[in-house]
Amino acid sequence: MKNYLFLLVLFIPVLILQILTDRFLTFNYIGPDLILIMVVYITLSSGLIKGSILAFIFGFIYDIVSGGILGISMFSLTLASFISGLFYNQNKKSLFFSSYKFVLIVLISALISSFFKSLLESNKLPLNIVSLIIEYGLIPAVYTSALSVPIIIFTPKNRLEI
Amino acid sequence: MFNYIRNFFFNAKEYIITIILLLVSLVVISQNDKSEIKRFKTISFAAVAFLKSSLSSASDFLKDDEELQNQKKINAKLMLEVNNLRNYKKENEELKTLLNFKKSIPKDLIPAEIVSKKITMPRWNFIINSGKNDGVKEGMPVLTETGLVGIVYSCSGSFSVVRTLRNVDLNIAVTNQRSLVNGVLNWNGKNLIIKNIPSTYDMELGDRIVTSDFSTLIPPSIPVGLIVKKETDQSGLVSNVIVSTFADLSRAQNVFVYPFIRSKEIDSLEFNLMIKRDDK
Repeated sequence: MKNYLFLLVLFIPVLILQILTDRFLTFNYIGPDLILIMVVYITLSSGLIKGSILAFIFGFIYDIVSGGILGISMFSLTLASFISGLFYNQNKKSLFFSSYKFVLIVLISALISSFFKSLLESNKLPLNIVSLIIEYGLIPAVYTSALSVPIIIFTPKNRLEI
Repeated sequence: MFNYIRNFFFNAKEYIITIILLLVSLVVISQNDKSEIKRFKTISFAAVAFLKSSLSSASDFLKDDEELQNQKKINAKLMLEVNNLRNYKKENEELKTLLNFKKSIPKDLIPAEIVSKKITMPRWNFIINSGKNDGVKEGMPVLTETGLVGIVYSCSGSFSVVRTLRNVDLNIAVTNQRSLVNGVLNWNGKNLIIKNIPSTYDMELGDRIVTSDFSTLIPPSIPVGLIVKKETDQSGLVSNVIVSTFADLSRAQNVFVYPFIRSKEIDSLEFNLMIKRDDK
């Protein structure tokens, strides 16, 4: 329980950064998802249960703070946790954070979660599937995964276990 | 058998929990328009709005001073007045000057600053730092000194959520100020569009689009934008008109809430019609 509380406290600065990036680093509706990077990190280091529960809570908080549709971020972050949880391996945890694999997992999780997020948000718009995958799935996913590169650079080998 | 089921749930508990959370999220999304969820969102949003407000003031290095704010407020009022004058002129030309006009310029606009913008392709929502304590009510129009921005969707004591023109959930009755052709303006994710206007109707590029008398949400004659494109369908019978807004939504920082209150007479008439429909 203490661990969950610690991660919720750690979430506050990430949330603040996300709000600032929404304002300053979003171009043509495409912006990075810093909370998703944190969710993938937690899932890969602590497993799917902790990752998905925290993703659900983080999404709930972000939906409230952003004033958007309640449930969209809850769904997309939980989905991202689920996708990254498929790569979870207790014995190879440290490998993820010291190689490109982490960026790749962020990319895959962000791609699928952005696609479904856009699909749910754009249900009233006449968009085709290619546009949803490339414009609203792949491009934000590449943006998000590019911002996850510092994690593999700056994560020490004896990194903080969470 | 019992052991098998127990083992199955134990081995698959991660997936079961995640799937339950995903299903709960989907249920929450589907319930977004319910009044209980809306009320919950308003209450919780009010509780965290201070965070966004303080972030906004901390990050806003180019914050306008009070003088500029006042000038913008005067500009917004003048814009509404000029637009009304255009209408008066047209009505004079049509010999309708003997009608009793209701004064529609508000005594005072409520100034507000945008503290946060939630921009996704289908929905642009702004959060402004004026709320019920400042006299803001749900449904009031929000504008800049150049034109309409959107309407107040929900408000707490000190903050309000604005549903902008670029929101698929907002449909606004508009009219062409020159030809008086009416239509419904809606955001399609890329453009603001007035759909299905008969091709024979007089809609020219460059015409001014303003809010319509038929709108039950927004007072008439607030400038919305200019016609920039007209697309006729293959049959040639109807056209879609693309409108570019006067208000620059992506750069807007200071806005004004128009303290417009819907006519109680219209409300009661609509209410009576609804009761009659239900009786049938």
